Amino acid sequence: MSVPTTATALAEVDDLVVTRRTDGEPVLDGVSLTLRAGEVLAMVGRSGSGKTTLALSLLGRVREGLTPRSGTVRVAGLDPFTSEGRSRVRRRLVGFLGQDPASALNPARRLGSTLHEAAALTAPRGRGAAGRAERERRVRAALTEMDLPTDPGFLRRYPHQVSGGQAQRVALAVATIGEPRLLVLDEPTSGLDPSLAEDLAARLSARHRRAGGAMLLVSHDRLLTETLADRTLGIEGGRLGPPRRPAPSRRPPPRRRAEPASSGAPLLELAHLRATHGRHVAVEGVSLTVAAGGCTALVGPSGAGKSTVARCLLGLHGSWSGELRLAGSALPTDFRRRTGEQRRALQLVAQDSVGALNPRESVRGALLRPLAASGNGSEEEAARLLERVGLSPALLGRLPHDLSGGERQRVNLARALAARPRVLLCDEVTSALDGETRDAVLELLRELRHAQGLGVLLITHDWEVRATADQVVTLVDGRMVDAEREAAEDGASR
Amino acid sequence: MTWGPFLLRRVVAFVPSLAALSVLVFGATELLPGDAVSAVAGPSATEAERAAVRERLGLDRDPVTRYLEWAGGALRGDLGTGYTGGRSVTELIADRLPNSLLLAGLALAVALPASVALGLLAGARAGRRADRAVSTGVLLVAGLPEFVLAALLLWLLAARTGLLPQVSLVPLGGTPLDAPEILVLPVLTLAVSGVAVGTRLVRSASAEVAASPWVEAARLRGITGPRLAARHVLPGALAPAAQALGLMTGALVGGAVVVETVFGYPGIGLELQQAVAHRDIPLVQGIALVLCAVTLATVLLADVAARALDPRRGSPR
Repeated sequence: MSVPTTATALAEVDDLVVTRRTDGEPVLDGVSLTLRAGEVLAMVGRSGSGKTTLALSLLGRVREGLTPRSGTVRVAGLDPFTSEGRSRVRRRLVGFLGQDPASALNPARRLGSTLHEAAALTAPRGRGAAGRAERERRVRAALTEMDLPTDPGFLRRYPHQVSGGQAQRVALAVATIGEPRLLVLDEPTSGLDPSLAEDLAARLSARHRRAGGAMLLVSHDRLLTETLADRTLGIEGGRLGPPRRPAPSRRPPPRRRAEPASSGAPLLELAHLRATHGRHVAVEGVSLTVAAGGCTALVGPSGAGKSTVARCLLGLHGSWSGELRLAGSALPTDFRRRTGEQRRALQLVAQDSVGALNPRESVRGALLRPLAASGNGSEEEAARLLERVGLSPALLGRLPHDLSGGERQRVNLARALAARPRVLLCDEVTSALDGETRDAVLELLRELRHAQGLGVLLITHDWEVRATADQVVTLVDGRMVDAEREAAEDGASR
Repeated sequence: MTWGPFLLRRVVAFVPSLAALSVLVFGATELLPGDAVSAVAGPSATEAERAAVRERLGLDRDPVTRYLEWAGGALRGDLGTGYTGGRSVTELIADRLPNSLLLAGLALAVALPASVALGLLAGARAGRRADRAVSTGVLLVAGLPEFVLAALLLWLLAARTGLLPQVSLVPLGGTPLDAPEILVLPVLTLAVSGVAVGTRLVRSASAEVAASPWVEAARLRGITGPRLAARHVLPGALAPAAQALGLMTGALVGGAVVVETVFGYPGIGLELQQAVAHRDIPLVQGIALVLCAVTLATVLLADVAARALDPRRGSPR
C-alpha cells in the first residue's frame, strides 16, 4: 500500500490476515476491501465467516484470542492498529453499533452522562463555558434527531428507566453524535423484537439520507440491507467473494403445510395452564398440543408470556397449575418430582446461547454429560452429534467464547439432542442466526421430526420460522388468541 | 422495593442474627477446655475451696438459666463481672473498644482506596500482564498468616532500621493518638492483609464489568485508561465490591486480635487473648458478643452502601 489514500477512499483494508492465537487458524484470510466516502456496504455471510472480525478491524479491535498477522487497515489514511491512530479513528471518524444496540449503554450511568461524554470526545476541545454550550447543543441535536425528549429529567434517567426503543435510540445517538464519517454496524437488529428492528432500520436510513456518511453494515436482516446498501459483499471462511445470490426465493423451499407425519394422540398435551409471578397472573387458560413428528409454534409479542409457558412445561416455573401429559401419562408440574427419563424427554434450547453454555466447559464436556446420562458417552457419539447439527467435530475442544453466535446456538441444539428428547422446546433459537444458518437449523429440526418423531415447540416472532409449524398458538398478554382464526389469516396473507 | 421496607427488613433481621450468635458464643465458651474454677482458685486449692469458688461464680447452676441471665443482662448493657480483677466487663470493653475501632478505621482508610485502585487496575485488564502481576502479588500476601506478616514488618521497620517502636505502648492515661508512631506498624499490618483480600474482591467484580458490552462499546468510542476504569468499569463494579468489602471489614476486626497481641496494642483483641488465657469466661463472652455485633453492623452497612450504589435496585421504573 504505497499509494496514498485517495480522496474518495474512506477506508481501505489490504490483504488482512487475522488468525486464532491458539491454533493459528485464519479467521480472516487475506481480505482486501475499499469503502468510498458516503458508500453503504453490506456484508453478508454465515456465522463464523469472519464478518464481525472484519468490521471490528476498521476500529483497530480484534476479539480476545485473535491476532492480526499481516496486511494493513487504513481509515482516512490512519492506521487504527497504532495507538494514536486508534484513538483518532475511534473518537472522531468511526461510530460503532453492535448487536442489541441498547446493551451499549452502561446500566450504572445516567443517559445524560453517557451522551455528554460522547459529545466531549468528538467535539473540538473547549474546557470553558463555550465548550460546554457546544456539547449541550450537540446532545440536544442528537436527541431531537432521534425523537427523544431533551429535558433534564430524561437525561437524569438510567437506561433501565426508559423503554427498550428509547434506550436503543439513545445508543444510536451516542454512536452518531460526532457525525462520524463511517458507521460500522454489526448485526444491529439481530435478536430484536420486530418493532424495535423496524424502528432502528427506519432511523438508520433516515439518518443516511440526511447526513450521508459511509456505513459498513454486517447483517443478515434483509430488510435492513436492502433499504440501505449500495453494494453487497459476501464473506465465507474469512475470504471475500461476490455476494452469494440468495436462493431465488429466500423462503425455504415449498413444503407441505400440516405434514401428515402424525396422527392419533398428541405426544405432549398441555391444558388450562395458569402461571403466576407473585400476585401477577402471567399466563392463563393456555392449552396446546405437540404431535409426534409435529411442530407447534408459540408466537406473540415480547412480554406475552411465551417463555413462561416454556418454563412451565419444563417444570422450572415455581407456581403454575394445569394438566401436562407426555405420551398419555401425566407429568408432575415441578421438575424435582419428575424422573430422570421424564426430564430427558423434554429439552430446552434457550434463546441466550451465551448464557446457556458454561463458559469454562468445552463443547466436548457439554455434549458428553447428557450423552453419558442417556447411556452412550463416547467421543464418536459427540462428534456424530456435531456433524448432525452441521458443525465440524474439530470444534469439540473449543470453549464457548471461541465459537461464533451461530456455532454456539448449534452446540446448544446438539446438547439438547444428546439427551435423546422426545419433545424439543426451542425458545427464539433462530433470532441470532443469519438467514442461511437459520434455514439449515430449521431443516435439521424438520428432518429430526420426520426421522425420529421428535415433537418441536417453537417459540418465535419470526414469520418465516413460524411458517414451518403445523400448528400455531398465539399469545397476547398471557391469553390465547383464537388459533383457528390466526391460521386462516395466515393463509390469506400468504 | 423502596428504602423504608428494605431498611426495616435488614434491621429486623439483625436482631435474630445477633441472638443466634449470642447462643453460639455462650455455647462455645461452655465447651472451652480448661476450667475457670481452677484458674480462679489456684492450682493448690482444696476441693472445698473449689466448691466455694464454683458457687460464688454461679457455675453450679444449669447452663440454660445462666445463658438467660447473661443475655438478659446484655440487653440492659450489663455483661457481668470479670473473674480476674473484678472489673465490669462493659466498662472494660468501653475502655478498649475505641482503641480497636481507631486501629481498624485507620487500616480501612488505607486499605479501601488501595484495594479499589489495585483491583480496578487488574480487573480492567483481566488476563493481561498488569493483572497477572497484581493478582499474583496479592495472592502471595493473602496467603501469609497475619502474625508472619506482622513479624516481617517488625523485623524490617523496627528491629533492623529502628524507625518505629517495636511495641505499641500507650502512654499512661492517654490514648494511642498521643503517640501516633505506635499506630503505624499495627495499621500497616492490618491494611496490607486487608488490601490482599480487598483487591481480589474488587478485581473479580470489575473483571466482570470490563467484559460487558457497554464497556466494549466505550472502548470502541475511543475511551481508554483511567477514564475507562473510573467512569465505565467502576460504577458497575462498586455495588458488588461494596458487599464484598463489608466482609473484608469484618475480617479486619478478627485480624485485630492477632495484630494487637503481636504488638501489645491495648485494644479489645489483646484483651480477648488475655481473657482466654486466664479463662475469664464473662470477659471472653462479652468481647466475642461485641465483635459479632460489630461484624453484623458492618455487613449491614455494606448492604446499604451496595444498594445505594446500584441504580437498578430500589428505583421505580
